[in-house]
Amino acid sequence: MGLLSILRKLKSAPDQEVRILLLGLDNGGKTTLLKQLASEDISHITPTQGFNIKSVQSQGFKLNVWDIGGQRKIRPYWRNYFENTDMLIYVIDSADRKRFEETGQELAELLDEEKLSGVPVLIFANKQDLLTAAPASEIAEGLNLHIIRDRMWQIQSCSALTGEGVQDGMSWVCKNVTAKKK
Amino acid sequence: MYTLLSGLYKYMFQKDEYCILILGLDNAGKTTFLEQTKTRFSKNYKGMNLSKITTTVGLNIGTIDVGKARLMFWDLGGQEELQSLWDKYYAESHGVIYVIDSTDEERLGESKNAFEKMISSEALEGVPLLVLANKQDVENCLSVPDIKTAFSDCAPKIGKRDCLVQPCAALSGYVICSSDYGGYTENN
Repeated sequence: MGLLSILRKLKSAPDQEVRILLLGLDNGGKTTLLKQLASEDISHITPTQGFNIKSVQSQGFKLNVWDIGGQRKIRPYWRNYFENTDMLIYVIDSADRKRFEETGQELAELLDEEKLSGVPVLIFANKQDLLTAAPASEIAEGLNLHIIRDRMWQIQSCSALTGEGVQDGMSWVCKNVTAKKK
Repeated sequence: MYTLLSGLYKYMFQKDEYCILILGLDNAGKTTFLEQTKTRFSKNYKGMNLSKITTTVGLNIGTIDVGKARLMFWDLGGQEELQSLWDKYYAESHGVIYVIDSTDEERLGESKNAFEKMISSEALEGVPLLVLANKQDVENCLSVPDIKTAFSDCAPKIGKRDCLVQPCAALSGYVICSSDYGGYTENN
């Protein structure tokens, strides 16, 4: 009986819940990435007007991923979602060089936010399937990521469309959330 | 009065903070070293599964307290195209740990080149240097004398800074503690 209750306890131990904020400029690929994570059909993606939220199981964690629209007029609403964030995922369109400066500025402003202080950040350098995509290292340098000193950061090449690199990024997320929690 | 007491409190209890860079080629074991260090020096820190360490393309941070000092470790990605980010951290560094994969003889030259470029930087003049010959738990790995020989022409560039070369196996935690306390210094 004791053993049975122990087994029941072990089995029903709730996965650690992680709150993940998925941000970036419009058309960076946030919603495609979210659907890729949730193993959903990615053939009909339209610009996100509000937000999408999905829960994904990964490596013993329940990841609650909040995907907020990235159009300029919507960005002021990002701050409504900052509270209790465990991990920030920032998605960049690696092929859209004309907007690297804009996306870098938005990221820098996010990192200055008090409510996101110390929150680890994963930057997905998305759309690596495109020939015109800049490599992750070039983006890291161009966005001055080396200025980030107060938190862990990682940049991961990926293609949300093909799925390449997405799981590697999520592996980093799961490991560093653990580190933060303890 | 509050300000005075507050200042006094800080003065008495503050720890000197030091920033230490962990550098080396990709796959040398920098992040594993950082994880082991955190595990051994931080109470209540439950480290990540070392077999799940993935390639660092960014910055890992670890902070530990040793005596009166607080050590902040910055573990940077070691891929060739990321090494251009290293020098952006030099100005704030109080120490450098350079990790070498003792089993990767093919890339020893590449590691030496990255090392040489690093110690040639003016921003790191006089900054103490710990070189870790990692993966000494693997059979037939290069020994410390082998590695010293391969790096010997860097000796003039090391100049006046303290430099220690230490064997280690970050995966098993071997020598982590003695590395942190040094022991003796030598100029190669």
